[in-house]
Amino acid sequence: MAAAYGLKPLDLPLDFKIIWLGTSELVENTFSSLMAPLDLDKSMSLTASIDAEWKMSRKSGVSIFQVAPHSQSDTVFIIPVRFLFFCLSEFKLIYLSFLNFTFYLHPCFDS
Amino acid sequence: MISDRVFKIGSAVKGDLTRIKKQFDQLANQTSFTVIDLKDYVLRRGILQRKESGSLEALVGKVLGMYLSKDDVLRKNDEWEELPLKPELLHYAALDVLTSQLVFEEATKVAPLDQVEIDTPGGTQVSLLTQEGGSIIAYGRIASLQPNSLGGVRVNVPTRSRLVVDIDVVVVPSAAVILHILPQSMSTSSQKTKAGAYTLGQLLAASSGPTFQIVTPVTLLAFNHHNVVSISEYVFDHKIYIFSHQNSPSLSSPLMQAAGQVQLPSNNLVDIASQELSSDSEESSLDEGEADDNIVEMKMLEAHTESTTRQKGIFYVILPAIFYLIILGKVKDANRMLFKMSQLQHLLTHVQFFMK
Repeated sequence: MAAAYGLKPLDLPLDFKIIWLGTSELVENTFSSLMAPLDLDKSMSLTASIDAEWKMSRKSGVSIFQVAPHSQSDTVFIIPVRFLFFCLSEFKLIYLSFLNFTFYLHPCFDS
Repeated sequence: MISDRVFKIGSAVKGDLTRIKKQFDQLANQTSFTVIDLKDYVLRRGILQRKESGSLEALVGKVLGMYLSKDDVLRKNDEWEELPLKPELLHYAALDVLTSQLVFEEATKVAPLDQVEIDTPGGTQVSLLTQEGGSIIAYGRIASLQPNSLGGVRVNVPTRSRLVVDIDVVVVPSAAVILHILPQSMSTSSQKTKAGAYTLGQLLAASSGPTFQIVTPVTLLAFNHHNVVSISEYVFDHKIYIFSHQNSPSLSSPLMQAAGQVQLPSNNLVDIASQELSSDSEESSLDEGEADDNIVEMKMLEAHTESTTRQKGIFYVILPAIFYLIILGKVKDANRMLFKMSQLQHLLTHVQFFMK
């Protein structure tokens, strides 16, 4: 309908990168790299747009989580949270950097 | 602690993070987020009005002047966990988050509105608004101490959206103080406002001093930069008296503070009153019900007038005021009538001041 009012449709740029973080190592490496500058400079902050999608039948949790760091304006990272959640639960691993990115550090992680 | 320096931005982003939190047992007790909700961000810059839609599509139109196609079939899909993800789902997911980034970056170019915040210092002069962006109903200062609750009203709520304000000057006594809900026993039809809350006038009457405290949503506060109400419009129902006053805590009451700085000569008040008498004359054709009401009002008015006259000894200024109340002709019940009489008393205070 808005298009009928002459508004230009918004779409992904042709050179836009969608990076699929399909393993825990990729997630950990990506997020630790994103946040590395914060370790070096305590006055620095990071802005990132985020979103999540989940399948209709899911009552809780999300299926995928998208992160677009504003420092990399041509890239979106997509994490298949639900898929990795099963793998990580099995090996009792934790997405440290991802959780650190997403929330305040929980005291038990704050070592 | 690093994540408090990672600002997560998105449309209705808290809902997404809440769902993720439930997915990770380790985060079950976590309550803190560093998030920026796009709608709030755009509202603070005056690009969007609170009543308008804050959906991502709406924000794209408002902020970017573009059109975002949101396919409901893709969004409400059951294939978000089937790997590999279909290209159209990947595209949808990537576009959604890129859009949020573009809206945020564009909105950042607009300076935020000068708004009272939860951490605005105590003592700051503020105006209390009838609604967000609405007219001024009182003047006051942010209280120096912000308790957890005040008179049974919680101040320290999880959303950190309320402040205690010292009210110095009531402009509209009949305005509701929305967080101060009337107790059930007092919620009779004649006393309660639409919001079922106390009015500023009721709280002023219940206070022991000239200044009283209220709890209010921060969104109903605006800066009163000048610390001076240079031209205040004190609205007594249909009647508007215009005068200048400067807030002065040393004066005995908020209305006396106003009276203490009145600059118009007293005959100006009379002039305004007489203009209103003539303009209201067209309302003189009342129906029978209203006429009955007026008889009751007249009797109460007479009784009140006699006592006031004895008490104040200024009978000669009460008569015009009585005439004004008769002309009003819209007071529906005794409580309302008594309230008008208290307003009349304030008016008399002003007039007394002029005559001195």
